[in-house]
Amino acid sequence: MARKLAADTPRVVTANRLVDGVVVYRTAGGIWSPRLHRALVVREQAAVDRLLAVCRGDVTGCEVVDLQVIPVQPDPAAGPRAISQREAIRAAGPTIALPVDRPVPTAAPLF
Amino acid sequence: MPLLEDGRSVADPWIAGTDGQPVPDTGPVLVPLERLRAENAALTARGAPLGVALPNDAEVSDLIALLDGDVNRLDLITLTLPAFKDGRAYSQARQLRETHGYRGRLRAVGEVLRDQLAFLARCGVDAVEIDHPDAEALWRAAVGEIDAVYQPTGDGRTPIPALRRHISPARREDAA
Amino acid sequence: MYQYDTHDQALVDQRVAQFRDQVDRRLAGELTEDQFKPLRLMNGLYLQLHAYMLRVAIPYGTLSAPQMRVLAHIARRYDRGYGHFTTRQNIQYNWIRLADAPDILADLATVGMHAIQTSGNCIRNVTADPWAGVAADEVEDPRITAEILRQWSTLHPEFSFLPRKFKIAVTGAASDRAAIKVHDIGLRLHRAEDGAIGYEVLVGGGLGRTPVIGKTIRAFVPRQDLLSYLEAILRVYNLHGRRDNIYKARIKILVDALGIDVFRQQVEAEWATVREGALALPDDVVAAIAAHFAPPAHEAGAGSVADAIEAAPDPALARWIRANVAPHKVPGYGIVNVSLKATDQPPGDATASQMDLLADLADRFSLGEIRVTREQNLVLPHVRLADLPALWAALDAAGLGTPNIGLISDIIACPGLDYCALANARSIPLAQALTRRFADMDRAQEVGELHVNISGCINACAHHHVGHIGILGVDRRGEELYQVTLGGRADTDATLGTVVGPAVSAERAVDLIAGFVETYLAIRHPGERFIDTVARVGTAPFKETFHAAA
Ligand code: SF4
Repeated sequence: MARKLAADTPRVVTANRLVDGVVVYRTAGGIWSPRLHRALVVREQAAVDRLLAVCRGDVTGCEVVDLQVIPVQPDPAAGPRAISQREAIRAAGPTIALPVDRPVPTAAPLF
Repeated sequence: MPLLEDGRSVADPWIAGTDGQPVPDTGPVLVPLERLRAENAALTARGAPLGVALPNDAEVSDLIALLDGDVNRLDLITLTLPAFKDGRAYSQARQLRETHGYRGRLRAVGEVLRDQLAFLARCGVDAVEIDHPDAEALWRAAVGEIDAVYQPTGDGRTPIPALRRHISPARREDAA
Repeated sequence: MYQYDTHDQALVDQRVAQFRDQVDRRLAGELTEDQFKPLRLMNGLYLQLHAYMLRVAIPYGTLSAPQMRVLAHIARRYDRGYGHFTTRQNIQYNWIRLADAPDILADLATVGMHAIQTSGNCIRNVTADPWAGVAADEVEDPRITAEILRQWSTLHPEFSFLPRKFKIAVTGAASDRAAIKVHDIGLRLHRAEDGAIGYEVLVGGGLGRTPVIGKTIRAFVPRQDLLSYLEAILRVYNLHGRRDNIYKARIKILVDALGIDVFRQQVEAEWATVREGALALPDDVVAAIAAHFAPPAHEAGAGSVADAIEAAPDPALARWIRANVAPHKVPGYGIVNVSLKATDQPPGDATASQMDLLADLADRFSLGEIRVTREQNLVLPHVRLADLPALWAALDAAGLGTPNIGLISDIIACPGLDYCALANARSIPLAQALTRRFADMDRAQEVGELHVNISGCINACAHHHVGHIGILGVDRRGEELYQVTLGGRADTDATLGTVVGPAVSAERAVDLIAGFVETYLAIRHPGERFIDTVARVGTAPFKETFHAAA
């Protein structure tokens, strides 16, 4: 749910890569990284708007889709972390062990 | 915007008879449904081609009633596609063509996209206003993209169930 | 089973080419996301939390062994080695690249499959009784009707931009296993007094934000008029359904606003204009489709499922037969339900190797057929009772032998917040916790039939309103909580569940359900199922459980 964020909330810009849908974050170096901890954290609305304007170019350029600004927990050492459960799951993947395609015994021969 | 009729780019001879403006005495005029309602007798008395812009929340039966049951008093009906997702015009088109036997031009206007053209054509729309540099090629490509159809509509194409009935049982064997 | 002819194949092949072109135009920047999104949705391609999700249609839940092998191949080649069978009898892949989608569709087309109309505001893949053609209580195989509807609805030029999605379910049996009362249109095949086959037509059922049980709009529509009658319903809906508010756009809202009688009049008026037209279904067309579903050649056999339980050399085998094998209409055969609900398994997930094995087992033991159920399980519909021991051994060795069909650990759960962009809360971890809590299969059999349904949001993909115990995930200020309902059912006596108590944490939900089971065991009458007990005593005794657990 979109809630109103306080004026100086630390935020990052996220999107999905067009070609494969992978979750990506905008870095200080101006690239899209799949790692949230590499994301550029911005606080002032003006800085957010400037960053978004640049990112929109990559939407038009068909690199990413579904731009969103999300609040984060900044950590100068380890990099930003997600706050909401949804964003934590977007950043880290499903919380469950994914099924593993192990070989299964084939059916015993009939005769 | 380029106008296609039967897939060919044509000039639009229709004059928009918008509310408040006097309707010219001659030449084809396209009026809003509400103007037809208000000036029905005068518009009919003109003796020149008449078209009506049918809003997509209007009842086709209401238009037919205004025309005393004779939809072919009109030479043009426009249907509106306000957004890609709004599909009311498809039903209006089939009601006009198939239920009421309308034979004049049926033109789709509004947000007409390439990926709607085949469906529109199947529903009896034979003219579109579409924003594209090579609208004719676009129409050809879009309408021909899928040539197997399951549904009988007024477009005269033979649907697959009917095609199957007309092949002999022997042919049916090797088709299967 | 239905086999594509050259016409069906041409259409699907052209559709693949068309979508390939659309994807190319998107990747080349000729289409914006706003323009492309409705196009990809018309091919079942969603953007979810982590990647694209592709939903592949399994018409009326019937698969051949070669089709299942292609589903396995797609899981292995283009995804992460597994797929998810859904309550709509479809399969979803969670980790798809947009650029691969056209190739996947091309692979599917080689076995007569596609993703057409698995999303978008159109007539969705038609669902049917998963025991079609094998159940003893059937008037006619509902797949004949469902296939007629598949063809009529595929790329329907008039109904591809409806106000909202549209779901049709068909049953041919006295006992409803297709949940026809919670679909936009439900069809029940039955015979008129003169013996003619036709349909009771229900309209306006559905779950989601506003759950409604469908109402009968016509008690009997003769078979030859089926398509014209449905076209009339769809046309009234297309013209008059609300388009201003996505939450009020389903046909149930229109039926409710007009009242069923006025809605019926409008449909009848429209029907009068199309009834005599080209949609009339000639007997030979029906017969040609019916021929595809002619019963396969069963061997002469004898014996019942009860005999097979009696004869089982191993108690674990007997337990599995008791829970998972249903009577087949042909003596000497059984309907084998394969549970995709092992302890800790995400409900409905199967790995590529499991899919391949099931294809092999279908070839060997089930005349090459497989079904997908609304409960997210699979069915091998034609198994000789004599083959049950060998089949069970093979399934069990692959983690597919869980004896819990219809029992408390046979949980129906949507992907929830682990995958789904619309979710409020996770579904799978709660389902897994419940399967661990109720892992004792002997006890589960003692508790008996009990359906638990878990949806991660109000869209109700896991049909929680009609679960005996329904669980809805909600987000309360960033916390995942679960609201519990009791007394819902999706069968012939479809009923919506009643909310009991405030939303609780996942841990509390597990305890509560355990408490409900205790309460039920304490007060049930002999032979009474959980749902019967709730129907008899109401929710009050269970609410006490709620307070006791607090
Ligand atoms: S019920 Fe909600 S969370 Fe679950 S799959 Fe459907 S939309 Fe997603």
